Amino acid sequence: MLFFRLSFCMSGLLVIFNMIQWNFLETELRGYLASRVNNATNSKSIYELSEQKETTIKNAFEKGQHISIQSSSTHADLPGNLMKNNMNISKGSLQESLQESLQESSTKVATKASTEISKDTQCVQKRVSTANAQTLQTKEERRRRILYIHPGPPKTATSTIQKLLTEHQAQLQRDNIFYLGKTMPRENWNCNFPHMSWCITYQQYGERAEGKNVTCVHSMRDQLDAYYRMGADVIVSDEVIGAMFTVPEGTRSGKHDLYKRAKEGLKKLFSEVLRTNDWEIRIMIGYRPTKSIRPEGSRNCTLGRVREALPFHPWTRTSCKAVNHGSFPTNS
Amino acid sequence: MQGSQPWQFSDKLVEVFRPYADRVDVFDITTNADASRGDLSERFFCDLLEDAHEVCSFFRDNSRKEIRMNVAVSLEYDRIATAAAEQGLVNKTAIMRKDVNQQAHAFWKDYTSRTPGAKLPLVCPPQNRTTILYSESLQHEMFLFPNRKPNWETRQLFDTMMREQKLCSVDLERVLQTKEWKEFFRSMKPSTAEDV
Repeated sequence: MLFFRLSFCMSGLLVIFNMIQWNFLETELRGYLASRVNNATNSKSIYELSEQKETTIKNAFEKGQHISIQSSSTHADLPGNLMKNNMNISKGSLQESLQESLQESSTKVATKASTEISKDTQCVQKRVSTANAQTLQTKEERRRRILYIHPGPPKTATSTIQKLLTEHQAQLQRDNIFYLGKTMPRENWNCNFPHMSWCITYQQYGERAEGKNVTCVHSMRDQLDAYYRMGADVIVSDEVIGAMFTVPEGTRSGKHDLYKRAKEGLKKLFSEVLRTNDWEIRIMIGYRPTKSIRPEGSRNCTLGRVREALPFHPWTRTSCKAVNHGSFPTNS
Repeated sequence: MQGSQPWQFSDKLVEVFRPYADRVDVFDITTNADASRGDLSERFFCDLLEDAHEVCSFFRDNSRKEIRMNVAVSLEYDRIATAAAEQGLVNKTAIMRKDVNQQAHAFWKDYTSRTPGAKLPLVCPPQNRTTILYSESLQHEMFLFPNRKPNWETRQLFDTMMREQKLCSVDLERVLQTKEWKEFFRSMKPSTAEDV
């Protein structure tokens, strides 16, 4: 008897606990979707993510699967996180919540996305048309537009090349070649062209969007499209592109498989951005003999420009041990 | 991000990007022994970019001094500084690392000018390691530049580097045991207030 009473009490408690937890999750979900809309400057990407989320969740419901929404919103777009089988939730209230949030986000998306696209395209058009480029028509007839990507690797004169490209922009532009700058946009001359690898990663995983421009994939696509339509060749040079897309197998950051991300990101970059026009894509890779990469070549690990200003005590030489041949026996 | 991750070398980039690209160009940033390769800026703008006529002419016509960014600097004084700090020879709260580095550099420059022939003791990789290094470098280079003559260019550059002890590093333990360096660290000036 006592056993039955206890079981009854436990079941009741479990139902109450589930209800409380579901209310919490529902609030989380609403808050999450709303924050994604509010934080973003272009909601188109959010719309895509939300569609993905909606499909994932709906499929899960149809199959009667259990769903969990993490309280931290940063990884909530990953199906793996959505699909943890750890609790039952109410089908009706979730669908209602989703529909409401999606409708709201879609409206905002449409408005913001159209503004962004127009601004990016206009900026590129202005840049190309004021560059005194001479060979648009001739090039158009003669050959495909070329998209040059210089992805490093580091320590192969990338800074020198980027400096030369920046310094000789005017000459390049008169020959209808446009350098798109390096790293995150710092100046307006390049129409704030987004960083290829960061952008695709943020868009793909919907992570670390705060403080970062999640509109970047659309911006990148629109800008490249505008250059293409205007008959220009373009150059992108950034060693971080190479570094991010070539992480060794097994590289992880916390629970994230960076190798898998790099592979997926690169594929996405080409299929969804770079191959949307008929660019001839040329990759330019620097080479410095392995044998000449010496400890001096790794000064960033100890003497980075920012770190130079720091006091002594936060410093260790641990990060540079690998290049110091510390394990070699004395030979001289 | 992945700032702390080791970066991959050129062959890996070729392997990763090749399936997606219409064309992959690998360019050697070094100038070869007989300078037949030309300077980097000319090669980049004239050989790699198509129709970059104006900028290419500029680099061909102007014998200008090549720009170099992030020129290699010796890390040896910084290594001496941090090793000294680890051994308690430096008051880390009173002096900044860059100041120790600079003062150590200045001290050694002054010392060698007064003591001809003085050299920092070095620790070098043993021959079996350098042999492996050379063979890996050669393999790497032949993959990227199959038309090169390995016995000419690659070997020559490697031998020069070995002669110049480019793969050696300062033997920190021996340095910090010498009386002149101990004396230097004792007499070091603290950083100024605005530096700290």
